Amino acid sequence: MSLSDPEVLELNTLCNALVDGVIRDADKARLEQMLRTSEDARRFYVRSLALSSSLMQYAGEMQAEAPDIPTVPIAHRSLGGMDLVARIAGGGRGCCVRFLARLDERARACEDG
Amino acid sequence: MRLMTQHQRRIFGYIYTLVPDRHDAEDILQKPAWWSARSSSNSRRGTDFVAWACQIAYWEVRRARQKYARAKVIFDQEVVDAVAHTAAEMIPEVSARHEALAQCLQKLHARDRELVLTRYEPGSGVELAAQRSGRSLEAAYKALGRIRKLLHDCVTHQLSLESAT
Repeated sequence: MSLSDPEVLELNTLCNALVDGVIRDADKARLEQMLRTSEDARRFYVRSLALSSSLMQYAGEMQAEAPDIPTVPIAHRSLGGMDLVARIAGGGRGCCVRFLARLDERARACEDG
Repeated sequence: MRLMTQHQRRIFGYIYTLVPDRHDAEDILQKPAWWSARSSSNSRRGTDFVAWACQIAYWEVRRARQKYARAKVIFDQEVVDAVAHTAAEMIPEVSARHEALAQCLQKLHARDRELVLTRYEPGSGVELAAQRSGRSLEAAYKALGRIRKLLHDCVTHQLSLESAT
């Protein structure tokens, strides 16, 4: 039996609350009931949790690029807060660009099989 | 040991469906029983290794269940068993979805991508992501729900295109 649209919406909301750590007891009980009784609900749940798990991985890879962000020596702090922000923001952009390039490479590899 | 490193993401993903808390799931990966099991992993290969490692992870979750029962979120054993069975069957699909997600992340608006990746950075969370993006906490929760839905649908669409060709 496949899930109805309202059930998909409800399940999506419950999974979001779960991964964000804000699920209430009543909602957890409802989620358990759905997972206990419906294979489709379990498949949706696994996909939903796997998405969060994958996002952790990609975010971790992006953060791993962070050492390239220039560290700001204490003496440079006298240049002012905006200078500090600009340096960090500049490094962050570089990190983002490299990360996106890696995503692109990964996507191309996936397309090429 | 090399296989463990290679497949750690898949195994973590499996554990996370059973113990849906990042720190608790990471904790399961660090259990002594798990580490000792790694030493005999060299005789196994590829998908066989992943299936075997997920079995060990499942028993480790069961063993640690009392500890995690005190944690914020844990399902009853019947539900854990049912989810474990489904998650094990879906390992190949979940891997394909992980790869497709790279493309879908690229398609996101830069501001949304930054929010969602900040949210999932190690040591981060919704509050920090909200703060960095200049959103209220409530707005960040809503935006994350919307972005996850977009990514979920995009990945499903991407895989349906790939299976059609």
